Amino acid sequence: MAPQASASHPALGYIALAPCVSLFALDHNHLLPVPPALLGSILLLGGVLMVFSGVHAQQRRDNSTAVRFVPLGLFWFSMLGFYILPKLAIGSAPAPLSLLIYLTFWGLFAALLFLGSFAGNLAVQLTFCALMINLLAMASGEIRSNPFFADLAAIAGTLAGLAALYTAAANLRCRWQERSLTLLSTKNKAGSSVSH
Amino acid sequence: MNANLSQQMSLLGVAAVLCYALLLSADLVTFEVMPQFVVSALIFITSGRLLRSRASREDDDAEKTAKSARSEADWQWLSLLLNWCMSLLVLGIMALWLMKPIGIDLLKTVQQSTAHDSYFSGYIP
Repeated sequence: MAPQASASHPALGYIALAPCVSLFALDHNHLLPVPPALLGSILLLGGVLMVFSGVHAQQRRDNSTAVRFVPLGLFWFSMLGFYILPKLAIGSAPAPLSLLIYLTFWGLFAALLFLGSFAGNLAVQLTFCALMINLLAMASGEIRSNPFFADLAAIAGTLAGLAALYTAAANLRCRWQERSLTLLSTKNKAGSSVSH
Repeated sequence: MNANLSQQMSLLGVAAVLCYALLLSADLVTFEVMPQFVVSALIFITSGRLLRSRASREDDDAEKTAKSARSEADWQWLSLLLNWCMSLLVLGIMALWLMKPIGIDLLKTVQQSTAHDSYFSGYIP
């Protein structure tokens, strides 16, 4: 069983990322109130799936996918502890300043993932760009009462979820039908089209 | 690209630790959020190391053409199983530590959990 260079399935991670980021952003902005127990289950299951996808990618020596999904899966666990469990009367919510700094660092991490996706395709770039905006807007919204940041976080979160879902669907279509979709093909150094 | 990104990710992890230490010394944050910050910094630094290993491997793959000799199949399977078990164990511990809300510790959570009870145990005829 020799390890393969890049034969992992990032689609599972993107499928898990989509409901986590979009539902959490919409619930955080009170645009789509989701029951805390249901949202907690979604975050927990999505985090587990993302970690599983990342560990699977690492076993197959696909480090870039592992770097994307293991940290993001663990991040949703921390969001569960910060936002959802206090709503279920387990523990208390942290101070807004702590959340501001914590979310800012994760926004910077998403920014680095966005920078790293420049060599990839447009759908992945869009996913991580929207995720970065979502996290930074949520961080700003923690200490400011301006509803602009909450609206921006909700819009960016929804966009990130949709882009992640598109990326997952296009990845699966590329793998099963060996066809590339729009926004999901890049040019390699030789100039030929490569689908991811 | 990966080499630069790995440096930036490692730098982000160190910056997270330094920022938390500065805020803690200024008494702006409490010890309650320490697990989340420490695990996040650990994740950032580990991601940087993973990307660095990938970058070095890509360099090596360009030079090397000969493959290493394959070992016995059983040992490969066992090592894969061990890798999976250890990685899931470590990630599970980190996830539990991350999920711990403020104002409650894991030991107290386990101690305060209610024991299983019979359905008719509270019945008074």
